[in-house]
Order: sequence, then C-alpha cells, then structure tokens
Amino acid sequence: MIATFSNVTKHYSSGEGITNVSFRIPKGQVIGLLGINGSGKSTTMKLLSGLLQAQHGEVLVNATKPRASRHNVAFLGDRLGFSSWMNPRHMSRFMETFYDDFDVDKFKSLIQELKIPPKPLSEMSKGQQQKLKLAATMARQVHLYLLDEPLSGIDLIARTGILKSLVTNWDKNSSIVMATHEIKDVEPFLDRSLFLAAGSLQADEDTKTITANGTTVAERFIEIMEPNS
Amino acid sequence: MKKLILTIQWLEWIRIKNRIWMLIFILLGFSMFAGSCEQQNVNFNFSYSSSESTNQPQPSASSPGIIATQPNTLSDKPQENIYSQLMSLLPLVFWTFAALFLGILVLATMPFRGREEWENGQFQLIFMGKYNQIQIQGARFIAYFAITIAFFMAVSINANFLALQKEWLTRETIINFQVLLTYWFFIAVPLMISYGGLISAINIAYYRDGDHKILTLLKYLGSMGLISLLIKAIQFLTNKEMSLFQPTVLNFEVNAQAIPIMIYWELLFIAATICAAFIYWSGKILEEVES
Repeated sequence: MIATFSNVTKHYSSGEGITNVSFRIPKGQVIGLLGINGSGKSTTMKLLSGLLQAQHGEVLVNATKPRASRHNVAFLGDRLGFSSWMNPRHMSRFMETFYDDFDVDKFKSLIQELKIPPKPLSEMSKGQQQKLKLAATMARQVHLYLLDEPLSGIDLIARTGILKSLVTNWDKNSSIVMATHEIKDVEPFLDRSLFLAAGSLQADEDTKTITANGTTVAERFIEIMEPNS
Repeated sequence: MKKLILTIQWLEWIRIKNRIWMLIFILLGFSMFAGSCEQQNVNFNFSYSSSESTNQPQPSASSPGIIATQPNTLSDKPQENIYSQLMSLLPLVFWTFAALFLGILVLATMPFRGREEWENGQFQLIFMGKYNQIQIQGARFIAYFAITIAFFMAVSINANFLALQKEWLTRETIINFQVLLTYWFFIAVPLMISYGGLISAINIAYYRDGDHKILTLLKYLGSMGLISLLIKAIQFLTNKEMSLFQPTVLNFEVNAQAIPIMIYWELLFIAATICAAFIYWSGKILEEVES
C-alpha cells in the first residue's frame, strides 16, 4: 500500500476543506480525484504531499507521516513553482539540486516528446508551461505522483498525447493521483475514481465496475454530483 | 550542501542582479572619484606651497606634489603638517565612506524577498525537496555575504592602496585600519543580512497567515528580547573582567602618537551567535509557512 487516508478532516479558516475522508492508494494504479470546484481535491492532494497537516484522522504515505516521506512524493501543484526566467535547462539544474530522485535523461526525453521549446517560462504559452511542469514532475522516480489539474491550459489535441506519454513513461511500482475537471480526457487512463463533493467522499469506484454498468466515468460523475438530474 | 550553496548562489544572484549592477556602478564611481583625489591633492599642495613663499616644500623627482606634505619638509610647522595631512585624506575618506554607505543601502535590501515566490509555488517546490528551509536560509546567507565581502574588500583595499601609494599613512597603520574595519564588518554585516532574512521571513509568513497569529509575532519579539538579554549578560561578564577570549591590542600611530585600540572578541562571538539564530529562526518560519 502506498498511501492511506483514514477519517481525515482538514478545515481552513474560511470553512472549506474535507471532512472524514477515507481511501487507500495501492501500488500501480492511476486514480482520478474528481469533483467540482471547492470539493476538496486540492486539499486532499496537499494532505498527501505533506504540505498540509490533518486536524483529525491519519494520513500515511509509505507507512509514515507525509511530511517524513515527502521525498517519495512528486506533486504538481496549481502554481508555476519556478522563476519565470528559467528555461528547461535551468529547471533541470534546479530539480537536480533539490531532488535526488530527479532523472535528467528522462526529463530530456519528456521535453523532446512533449515538444517543449528551449526558452524561458515567461516566453512560453500557458500550455507549454504546464507541459514543462508535468515533465519536471514525472521525471522524478517516486512512489506517488500527485497531479493537480495536469491538463490545465493544454489544448485538446495535445492532451491525449501527453497522457499517453506519461502513462508510457510511468513506473508501475508507483501510483498516480490526478485531480482534474477534464474527466473525458483522462477516463481511458483511470483505474479508479474518487468522487468528492463539498469536502466529503461520495464514491470510490473502479473504472471497470463503472463501465460494466454501461456508463462512463463522466456520466457517473454527473450522477453523483447531481443525483436529481 | 556544496551543490545547494552553488545553486542558491546562482538563483539569488539572478534574483538580485539589478542590485549587483548597482554595486558595480558604485564601485566604478568610487574608483573614478577616489582616483581624482590625487589630482585634487596635487593642486591643493601646489597652491598651498605657492602661498608659503618663505618655506616652499621641495618636490621630489619620484613623486612631485605628494612630497610637499612629507614631515621632514614641514617638520618646522607641525600645525600645517596636520592640517595638510587631514585635508589630503579628506576626499579619499569621504568617497570611501560614501561608497560604503551607498553599498550598504543596496546590500541591506538583498535578503528581502517578494511574496511572489510564495504565490507562484516556489515554497512548495523547495519544501518537497531534500533540503529544509534552515539549510536554504544558510545557503542564501552565504550568497549575500559573498557579495558583501567582495564589495567591501574592493572598496577598502582600493582606499588603503591609494593611501599607501600616496604615503598618507604608514603601512602598519593601514594594516591596523584594515583589521579594525574587517572586525566591524564581520560584526555588523552578518547581523544585517541575517536580520533582513528574518524580517523577510516574518513578512512572508504573515502574508500567508493573515492577522490570526499575533501571538506568534509576540513569540518572535519575545525571543528577540531574550537575545538582547543574552548580549547584556555577556557584556556584564566582560565588564567583570571575565573575558572568554584574550583581547587584541592594535597600535595606531598618528603623528608620532601611539593610539592603542582594544579588540574584544566576545562581541564577534555574540554577533556570530545572533547571526546563526537569525538564520535558524527565519528558516523555521519559512518551514511553517506552508504547514
């Protein structure tokens, strides 16, 4: 088991957050963390990465507290993370210094595969910046990849290619958790989906089970979020 | 750690490149004005010499003008000698202190970091890495201190070299001045940089946390009070002649008068302790920013 979330509660001063959420992340799965805005997806991600601490309940990654095992977690957040003057070469140097598990060769091959130009972030489009962040995150050799809106800003045509590239390069001894609104795009790659609404886990279902019932993940999402529709 | 220091230096030097350019311009300005001191001095000495029609100083072939202020020439007129020496030193002293003052103004702002770094997620990225914020703050301190040392050495060595070349001061006095300046530099500058780092960390932390943590701010202020108590306690110990280190005596010779100046190493020790505390402290604050 890579990570466990047991009855976890975390509330911000604004009142938002998550309440009594439990799930497990086994090895070798691509998991979709699905929900509308403010449902608690980013909070769940930050709790798993150790950036936030739970008020109640327990979060374990590799059987230890996330803060202690944060070196085994690669987190793609919603923010840029790098200075705007940095180009891919600078980012590689930065990542190499701060992360022992950063694979420079893998980063270079992802850069080529994703067709990222060798120019500063400030001169890149939002989609190119996102691709570069993705490459930097996925070039790490860790047990858990947390991708918060990985397809944000990336055009429709490039999305499938990027996801294929990520899944091809992915080490099956680890797991990927993706929080996204682009359900239709990620659906073919998901093994399992966690449906969050208003800070609570509404459902935790395998893609096979969902499709066996004759629905898609996107349709199931709508069913759960709007049960009266 | 070496890799971290080199990477942080690279990142910081790019971040503060405009300030580094300003320091270079200050150094260039200083070199230009300090260099022009020679011309002013020569003119001054010649005008001075010409006004003293009864006792004209004899310029030597090797250094015309400068020799006019030599003691053997003016030994009969000690007052004029002192006046002449002071006047000849004034422009250099003025430009040296002007350069150091402007430089310190620029250097003091180096540790101040924008909130953008937190906003664009660099904290997250660093937090997830193998180094903690205390190590990173330490590496940043080294990056700033290296720039400060380079600037200070450029100004002071330049000024001392000019004074030595013009024989305004003896070699021993210049060395003693250099030791004295370096001593105060190592007391004041690390404190200035580490304190800047602390203020910057508090600024970012309170931007992140809002006004809900007044108690934490009081805790920080209380700790600063404790540090000042520590300084007073150690001063009390030194006043009772219970010094930890043997003081060093520097003998200055100005106009054939020996002026001893004591250097108490406790102050340097206290400064280094406070500096380490500030670095540790600011690192802890930044660690807590994302928690």
